[in-house]
Amino acid sequence: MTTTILLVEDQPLVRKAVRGALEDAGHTVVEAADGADGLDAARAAPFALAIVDIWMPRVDGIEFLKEVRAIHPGLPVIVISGGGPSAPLEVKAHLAQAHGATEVLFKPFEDEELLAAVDRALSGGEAGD
Amino acid sequence: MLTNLSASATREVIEVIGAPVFVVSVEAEGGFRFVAVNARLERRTGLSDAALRGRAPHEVLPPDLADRLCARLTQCVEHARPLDYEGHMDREGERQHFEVTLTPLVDGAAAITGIMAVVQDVTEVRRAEKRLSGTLARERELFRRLAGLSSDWFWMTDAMGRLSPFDPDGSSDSSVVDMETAGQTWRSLWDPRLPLEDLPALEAAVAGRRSFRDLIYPQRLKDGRARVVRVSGVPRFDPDGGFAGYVGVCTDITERRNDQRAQAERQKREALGQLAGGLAHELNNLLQPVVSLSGRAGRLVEPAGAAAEMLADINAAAKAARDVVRGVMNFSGRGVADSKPVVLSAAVRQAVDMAAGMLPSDLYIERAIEDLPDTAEVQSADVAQVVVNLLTNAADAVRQGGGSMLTVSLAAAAQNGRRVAVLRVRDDGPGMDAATRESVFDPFFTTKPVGQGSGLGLSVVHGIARGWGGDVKVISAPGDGAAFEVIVPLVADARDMERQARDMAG
Repeated sequence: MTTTILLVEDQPLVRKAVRGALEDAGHTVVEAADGADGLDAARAAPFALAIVDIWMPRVDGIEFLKEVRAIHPGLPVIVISGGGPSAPLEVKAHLAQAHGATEVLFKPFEDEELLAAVDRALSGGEAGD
Repeated sequence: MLTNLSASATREVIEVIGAPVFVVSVEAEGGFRFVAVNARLERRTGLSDAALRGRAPHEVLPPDLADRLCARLTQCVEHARPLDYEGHMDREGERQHFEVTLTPLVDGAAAITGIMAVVQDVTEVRRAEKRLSGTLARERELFRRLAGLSSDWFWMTDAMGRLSPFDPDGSSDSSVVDMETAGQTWRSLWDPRLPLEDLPALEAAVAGRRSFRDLIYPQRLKDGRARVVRVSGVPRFDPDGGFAGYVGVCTDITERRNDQRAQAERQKREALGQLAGGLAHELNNLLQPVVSLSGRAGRLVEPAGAAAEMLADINAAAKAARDVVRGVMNFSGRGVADSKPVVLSAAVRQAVDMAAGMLPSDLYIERAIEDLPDTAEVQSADVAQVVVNLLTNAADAVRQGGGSMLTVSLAAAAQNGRRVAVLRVRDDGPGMDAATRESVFDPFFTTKPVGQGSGLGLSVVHGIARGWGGDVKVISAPGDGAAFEVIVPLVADARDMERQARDMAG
């Protein structure tokens, strides 16, 4: 099954690596360089899944999570985080889950971990329908 | 001589004396009679020459005054030499004070036939003295009360530099005179285990008899506790200008200084934590492509080839780097943690078993782990890491110092009104000096040779403990081993939680 995934991440090298892993697994990826671009993309087209960094300029991952719910209420979201200077990781992770993140992955992760999380998120979404 | 003169002539003679004077005759039967008094005496006492002349004291004076006067006159006759005494009389309700000099008057046959009394009115002097002593007493009392109110110690030294009681009459309370320090010198109160700080400056000031202000040095109390004091003093001199010692004030600044140190320590750790958190974020983002791309590239190249091996090495190195970053994040309290309540004593026991297997077998680990029913919001893996890191550190210390004994204990305690568990790991190694104690939780701090320790172990313990909402501290002195105490907040009795769970399920 080919799915279209929205990848919201401000680090180009991370974007490239994650995109490669997803495309190798047969997914289609649309990239956004921060939360604001990500919300624009979400408004423009439907997605099966969003993968979102937390620590980003302009609109960060938590803001993105809150607002994307208004656009796609059932959209599964995987949060990927490298930790940030302003808040402890676990606080961010809890926040992400409180705002409806399906799963939180801490960087750096293996491609296998990411793809397993993607599979769980996609099947969970289908099971819920 | 006065003895040969008539009463009138006597009066004329004594009139020229610049003080009140009276003369009495010594009667054959032993009594006395007034011969004459001068005008000065009349004015001072209100008694006239005319009224007194030829009369015995008891005929003209109030009985008590007459008694006192006759007693002194008798004494003068018996001793046959001049006599000074201080007397008084009450006149119109006011007491008058006199200094009186009695001089025996001798006739040609060396018999005492009369006595001349020269009287000095010292009433004003006595009144002034009384007022002054009252003022002094009031001021001393005022000072004593002020000093008693102060938490500072007032002190005094003698010319030899020995501390002496401040208040000469010894009536002061303990805040004025620290009697325990009496006889001691500044040097003998100094705690030799602690730095000298300003003590040399204090001794130099005393040697030069200069005043000194706000000098700081650590003092040892009788009970062995060390207190840091701030002391100021000024030299004092006796009335002839000789050096008599010092007087001054001394303030205990131990708490203030500890607070300042703890605050500086917190600030340093917070700054380090911010730095570590930011650094970890950047590194994690950089490691993501390394882990991800090396893995994918490995699948693209020939499986058994040299390139595959190189890519596997890159991947392994990136994961090792990730572990270092996680260690730093744990230190900074920014680690990945999903705390669930665990029964702490069980987790600690398990961790000690695991750690014991990793340590040299000739070490003896004494365990005193209490069975606490309480749980803590911690991960078993973190408990294991804390125990392993502390025991590894203790084992290294013991190896350096030639000891052979580690003690692990766990006990409940109360701290700031909350229930905590204290996990304690003690070694009988060489111990630490103050500088080492202060840096022991800093990341990358190590006393081990280069390449033998990362310097992260104890900083990771610190990070994990802080992440639990607890803390870790070290108690150590050179030659005295070291004890690390991890404070873990307890949340609830595990049996209560099971009961709650059963109730909810039911």
